[in-house]
Amino acid sequence: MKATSIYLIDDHHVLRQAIATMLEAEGDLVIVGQSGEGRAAINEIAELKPDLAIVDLKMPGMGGLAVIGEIARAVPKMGIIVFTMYDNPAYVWEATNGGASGYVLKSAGKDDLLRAIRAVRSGAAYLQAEVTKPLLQRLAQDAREQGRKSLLSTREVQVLECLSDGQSNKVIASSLAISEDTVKAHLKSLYEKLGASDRAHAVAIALRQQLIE
Amino acid sequence: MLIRRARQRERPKLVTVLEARDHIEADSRFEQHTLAHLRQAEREVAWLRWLGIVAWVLILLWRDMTSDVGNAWAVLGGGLIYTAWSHWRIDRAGSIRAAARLTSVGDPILAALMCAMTGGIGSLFYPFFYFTLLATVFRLGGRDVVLILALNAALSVVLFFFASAPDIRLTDLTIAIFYLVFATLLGVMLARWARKNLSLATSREKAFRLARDRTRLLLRRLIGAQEEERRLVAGDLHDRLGHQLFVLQQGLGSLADHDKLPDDLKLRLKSLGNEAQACANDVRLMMNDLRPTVLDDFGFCEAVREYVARMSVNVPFDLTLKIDDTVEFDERAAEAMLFRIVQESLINIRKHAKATRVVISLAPPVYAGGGAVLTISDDGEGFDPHKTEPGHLGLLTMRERAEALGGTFEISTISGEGTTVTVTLPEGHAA
Repeated sequence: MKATSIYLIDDHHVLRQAIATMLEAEGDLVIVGQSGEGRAAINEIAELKPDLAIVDLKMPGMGGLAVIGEIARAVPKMGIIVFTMYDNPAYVWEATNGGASGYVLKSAGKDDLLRAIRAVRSGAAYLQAEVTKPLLQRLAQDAREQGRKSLLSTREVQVLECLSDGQSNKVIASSLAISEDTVKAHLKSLYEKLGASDRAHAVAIALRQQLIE
Repeated sequence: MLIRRARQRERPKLVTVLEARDHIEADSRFEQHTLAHLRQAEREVAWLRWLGIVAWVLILLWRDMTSDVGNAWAVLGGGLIYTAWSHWRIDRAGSIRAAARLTSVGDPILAALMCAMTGGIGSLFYPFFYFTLLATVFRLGGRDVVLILALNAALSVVLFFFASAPDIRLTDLTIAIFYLVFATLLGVMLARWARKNLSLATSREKAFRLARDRTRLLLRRLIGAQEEERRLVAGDLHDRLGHQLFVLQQGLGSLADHDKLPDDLKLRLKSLGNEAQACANDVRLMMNDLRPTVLDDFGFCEAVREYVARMSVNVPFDLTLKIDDTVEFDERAAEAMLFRIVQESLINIRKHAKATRVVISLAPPVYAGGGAVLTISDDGEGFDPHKTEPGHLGLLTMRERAEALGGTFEISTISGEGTTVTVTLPEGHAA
């Protein structure tokens, strides 16, 4: 089997050496180049076209996320593995959206990095377990927030529309054929769901979130 | 380090500026107090003047003390006009000092006229000279005192020569003038005592304000320094410790794989490697606790979402987030401030509130030109804001964080019904 060519991008020189030594000991992995600076790395990668790039996120000058976007565009077939200290979902999300298909923490062992390399090389993706949990929690948080927005009942949307016409509680009650107390109850739950402090605020939020036109 | 040292050098200047400003403010405050006191004294003297006029009326009605009734009535008329005018002027005069100077001349002249009608130096009204002298000296002080004394003495001399009864001798004039000097000295003494009290009160107030401003400045600087320090430490942890631990771990790992080593040594090297890995993991978590880089790279909304996502599985209450993404910040400091307030509030709620439901919301300005509003409300026990322990800095720090950026911080709590923290950003920090 042909050896896998790898390019390392990390501003920490000793760390790059350690990774190189560790990977080359495997036999079928070859480090074809390395750089501590994003712009230089992008140029070299466009020329060398390695099978894999291992990228750090925090670097002086051009950040890792920007580098990932550039090299993914320059060499679309290449696999990109993020190797970083940060487990925050935002980085994972941005990196994978930018073109990375592996995400490994520097605090992980050698096995995790090797697993990621094998997986990405075979066309799959690899997220380290420590990264996956916060990411899922974060996505669940998004889902909860989205869910709340779609929770407005038809009646509440009608009340909102009346509000945006500047109608008073009395007028809303008669136009929807419900009691004024019911209107007040709807308003209360609307404020709650929208996070609004008063009528005008509720309408403003609803317009912004395009709940009404 | 260079940057930090440069900043330290700048800082004392700030305090100097603050102190200088305070001196000017204190001086002008002292002046304001003095003027207010003078106005008050002028008002009280005006009422005494009315009393003098009443005495004159009584004399006119009850006793035939004056030889010239027509002129006595004229003095009454003039006195009434003068008294009414001086009273009316107190609140309308542009300079209360000038008004006081005018009456300090007017009063002895009125007294002299009264005496002239009623027997000169020996008149029942002569003590009015002492009274007016005391009153004016007490109010004015300084060089004016000598002038007023001279005026009073001159008027007495005139009275002695032109209006006194034949049995009044030079000794009487001498005694009268001696009493005038005596009254002047008494007035000066009283005025000194009053000024001293006033300046003592003003300097106490100044000291208090200075101490308060210094505390506030220190607290704000402390908050800023803490944030900066945390960022630096987190950065150092990342750049140095984190990477070195990885290198160490790899070194140990590759040693452990070495063929020539005995098995028990391999095992120990492996466990050391695992130890290094655990360390690296701790460093990673500490970095995030110190200063989430997400805050710098993605801003408040993402940082708080991530924080809440993490927290919501670890807290005993239902945590709801209502973030309006259209809120835009134009300063990282404002986002860090809001994030720390959310953190601090959630820690407080978890520790003390016994809440079942917590809502964090970030809403855009309620009115055009206003600032974005962050609220954190819980349905917990609430607390008595007046009974918080003095050593508890949480609330104070939150308030200072908000106010340091020109925002407002409000906390409303009802015992048994929960607490709401409201932070309003100033216009310009968020739109």
